[in-house]
Amino acid sequence: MAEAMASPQTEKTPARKLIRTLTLTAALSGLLIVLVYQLTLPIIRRNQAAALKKTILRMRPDTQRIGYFQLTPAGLTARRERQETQKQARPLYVGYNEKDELTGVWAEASGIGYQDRLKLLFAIDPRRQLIIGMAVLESKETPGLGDRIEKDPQFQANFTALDARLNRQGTELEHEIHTVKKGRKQHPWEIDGITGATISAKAVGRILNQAAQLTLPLVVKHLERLETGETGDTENSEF
Amino acid sequence: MNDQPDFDMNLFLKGLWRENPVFVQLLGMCPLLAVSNTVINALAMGLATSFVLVMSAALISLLRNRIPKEVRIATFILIIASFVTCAELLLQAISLETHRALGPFVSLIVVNCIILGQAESFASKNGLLRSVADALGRGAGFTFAIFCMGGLREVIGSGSFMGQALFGAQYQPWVILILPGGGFFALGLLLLIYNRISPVSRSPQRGCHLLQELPDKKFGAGKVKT
Repeated sequence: MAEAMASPQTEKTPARKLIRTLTLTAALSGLLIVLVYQLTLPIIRRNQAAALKKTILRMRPDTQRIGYFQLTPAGLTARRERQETQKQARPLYVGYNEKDELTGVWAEASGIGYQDRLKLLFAIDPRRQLIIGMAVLESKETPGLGDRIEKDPQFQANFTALDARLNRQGTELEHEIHTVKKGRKQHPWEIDGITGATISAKAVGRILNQAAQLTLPLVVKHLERLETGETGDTENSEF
Repeated sequence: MNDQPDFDMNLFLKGLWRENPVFVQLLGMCPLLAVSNTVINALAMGLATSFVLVMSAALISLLRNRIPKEVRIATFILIIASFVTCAELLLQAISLETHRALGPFVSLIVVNCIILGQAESFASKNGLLRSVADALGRGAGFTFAIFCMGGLREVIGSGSFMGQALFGAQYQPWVILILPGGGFFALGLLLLIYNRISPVSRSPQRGCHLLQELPDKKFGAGKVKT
């Protein structure tokens, strides 16, 4: 009778089994991800390189070949197209036209956007010390809102001739690049923001300023070498 | 627990139409509204979700007797998150442009309630083939719904289908359908059409209490939520 009245006790799983299950599942998940990552990495790299070339050509259609360099604290060094950049080095892409004249210098910039890391590519005209183009390479900004940093033609118009002049010593920008509220742009080094995508637009200004402060002085310093393009691994841009 | 080893076509059809996760259960609304502005984006999202759904259902079903109930949700999420990462890498390898167009929504598949719901309510209680059939049905149902949304929004909102112009230069696109608000209009219209032609709405009996009395064949497995 007493047995019949006793409520059935649910058996508790030993803690050791719980830990073992979670550890094994985590190990299995890790193995799966590493396997897929290793398999897809070369294809993703190839896709990224093709997308980069397409972006460069879209900004400067007269570009016929690209030189690959990297900027390190020690200076400018050439690299091969598929060669990884060294630690603390920033990749640099230099475009040349049919007459082997420099069409622009492209540098990468990255920082935190609204959702996640934003990776940008910006084009520099080193002679005039202007930023002449900006494209988004990687972004997880909200479709329809944050992604307007790439799709909004009015925002993109900021980057046709954005002032990036260096100071007299050539060590940093004369004026910091920054984003202002939409319609409040007064100076050529200001970026007119986007209503409804304030954080993403401000992030672009901040990221560009940081990257330009580091890149521009070195690009201008090594301009003659970049213009000859002799040391970079160049490739015909039959994209 | 049902261990029937066969691939049950009825389960597939149930997920695809009778208990469509979007049109009947109203699940997965976030990606449905956010990335259905073009057919390509919609298809990519639908296929990525289906991939995660089927793969996680298969693995969870295989491991179901080895996962203690106390840690089942944590384990399911770990498995789902792994397949989401794989789907993201595969999408980047297939089309970087589409991956970028989908923004954060590929990563957010991990919190899609269709997937965790299927794992908890079906895959953890059924055999491999039945779980895969059910997951395939739900995945196909979600892909079908998001494809309809993408088609409707792109054709009317841009005058094109998969990037190909349909109506010529004189067509004035209804841009509202491409904008976020237009997603709600499109969803409302599709729900209206679905409810018009689905077996539930054609029944003379209405209301959740009356629905319980409907014959099983109208609802596939005969389970009706109240």
